[in-house]
Amino acid sequence: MNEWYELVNDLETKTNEPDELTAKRIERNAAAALPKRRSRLKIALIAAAILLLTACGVTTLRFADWFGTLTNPQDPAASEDLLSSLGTVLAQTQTVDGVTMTLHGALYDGETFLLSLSVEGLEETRYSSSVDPGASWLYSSRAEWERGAEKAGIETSYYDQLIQSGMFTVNISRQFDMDRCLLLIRPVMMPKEGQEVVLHLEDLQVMGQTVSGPFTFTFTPEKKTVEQTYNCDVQLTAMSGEAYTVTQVVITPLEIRVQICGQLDSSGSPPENTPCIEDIRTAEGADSWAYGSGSWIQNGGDGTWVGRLTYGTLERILDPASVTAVKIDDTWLELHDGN
Amino acid sequence: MTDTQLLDLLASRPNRALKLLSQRYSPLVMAVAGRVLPGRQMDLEEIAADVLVKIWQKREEINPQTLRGFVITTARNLAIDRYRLLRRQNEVPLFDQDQEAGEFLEDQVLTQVLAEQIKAMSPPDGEIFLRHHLLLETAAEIGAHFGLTEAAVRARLHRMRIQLRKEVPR
Repeated sequence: MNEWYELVNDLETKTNEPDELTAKRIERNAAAALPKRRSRLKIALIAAAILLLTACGVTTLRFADWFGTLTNPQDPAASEDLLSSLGTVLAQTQTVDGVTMTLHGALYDGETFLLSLSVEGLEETRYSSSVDPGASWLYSSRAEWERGAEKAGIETSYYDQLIQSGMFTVNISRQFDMDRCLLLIRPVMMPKEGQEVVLHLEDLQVMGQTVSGPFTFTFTPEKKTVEQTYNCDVQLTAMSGEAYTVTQVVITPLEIRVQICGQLDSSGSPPENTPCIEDIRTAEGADSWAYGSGSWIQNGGDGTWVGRLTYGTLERILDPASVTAVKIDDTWLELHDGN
Repeated sequence: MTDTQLLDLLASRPNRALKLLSQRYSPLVMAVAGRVLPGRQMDLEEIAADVLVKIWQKREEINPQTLRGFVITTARNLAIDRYRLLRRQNEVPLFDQDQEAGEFLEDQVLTQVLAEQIKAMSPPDGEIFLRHHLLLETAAEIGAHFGLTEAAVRARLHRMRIQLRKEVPR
C-alpha cells in the first residue's frame, strides 16, 4: 500500500473544520477504542495482587474497568477507590442465541444512576459508538410496583403500559474487539432507596447488529453517597444585576450542586439571567472537568425564589475533597471548611 | 509539531497525540468519506475515529512522510466498506456519479500493480484518476482544477478505466 500513500500524499482537496462537539466525539470514540495502557510491571503487579486476593478469599472489584470512561487516567487507583465507594457489584449473566450479557455493577447515589453492562458473542458488527435501546426498558419490578399499586387502589394491569416509560440512554464505553463491548446505561428513572428494578433488554442495536434477547435482570441498586458539603451565606450578583445568595455547595464524584435563593423582583420574577457554574478549581489548579451545566429555579414562597445549579456531564469522576473553588458566572467562590 | 513527532507521541501520550492527529486529519477524513456517504454524520464521525485508531495500530509501520496519503487511502477504503454495508441494508442510494465509475470504484482493489500503472500514466491523467477514485472528486470539480470540461474529464476517466481493466489483473 505504500505506493498509494506516496501517490496521494500531496493531493490537495477542500476540507471543512468539524464543529467542537463533532471533534470531541471523534477523539472520544478513537480513545475509547484504544486498549488501556499498562506497563509489564503493572500487569505483573496486578496479576500478583489478584493471586494474593484470591488466596485470601477476597473478590477483586473492577469498577474502574466497568466505568472506564469516568476514570481519571492520571490516577486510576484513586478513581477505583471513588467508584467502588459509590458502586454495587451486580454480577448477573445471561446468554440468549449465543450473545452473552453481563450486568457488572451500578453506581447510584440518589442523583445519578449508571449501569455497566458487557455484550459478548456479537457477529457481523461494525464500529459504532451509538446504541439504539430498541424495545428495552428499565422500571420498577412488577412485584414491587403491584404492592404499591394495590395500596393506592391502582389497576395493576397498567404496569405493562408504564414500563414503556422506563427509557434509558446507552453508549458503548469501550470496544474490546469486534464481538465484545462494554455499555454504559443511564436510566431516566431514578429508583427510590431499596427499590427493586428490572432491566429488560430486547432488540438492542449494538455495533450494527440487532440483539433480540430478551434479557431480564432484576436487582436492587444500593444507594451510596460520597460528598463534600459546604454550607454558606455568600451574596452574589447575577449577570442581569439581581442580588442572590449561595447557601450550599455539594460536591460529589459525579456532580457539583449549588443551592441559591433570592427575592423576587417587583414583577414577581426571578433573575432574568440564571446564574451558571462555569468552572471549578482543584488543588492541582484549574480543571476542565466538565463542559456542561444546568440550573432550575422555582418559587420559594413569601416573595422569594430558590434554585439549584448543577455542573458535571459524567466526563470524569472527581475527588470531592480536591475541589477548592467553584466559579459562578464571573465569580470564584473559594471553598473552605465552615464556608 | 511534525507528523514524525506526532507518531512518536502516540507511544508515550496516545490521547494527546490522538487529539492533535484528529485536529490535523479529521477534516480531511470527513471530506473524503463525505463524498461516499454524504449527509451521514454519525458514519463520518465513526470513520474519522477509525482512521485515528488505524494510525495508532500502525504507528510503527507508517512512514511519517506519507501519513497524509495513509489517511486519505484509509478513509476512502473505510468509507467504501461502510457504503457497501449500508447498501446491503438499503440505507444508502447508489453513487450519484455515473454508474461505470461507481462500479469501478467499488470493484477496484488498491493493488501495487494498479499503483504502478497510475504512476506510468502521462500527466495529468494520473492525478485525474487519483482525484476521482481516491479523493472521490466529481468530473466537474476535476475539470475546474485542470481547466478541462467535465465531458473531457469523463472521457479521460473512461479511457483510463478501459486501459486499467485490460492491464491490471483482478
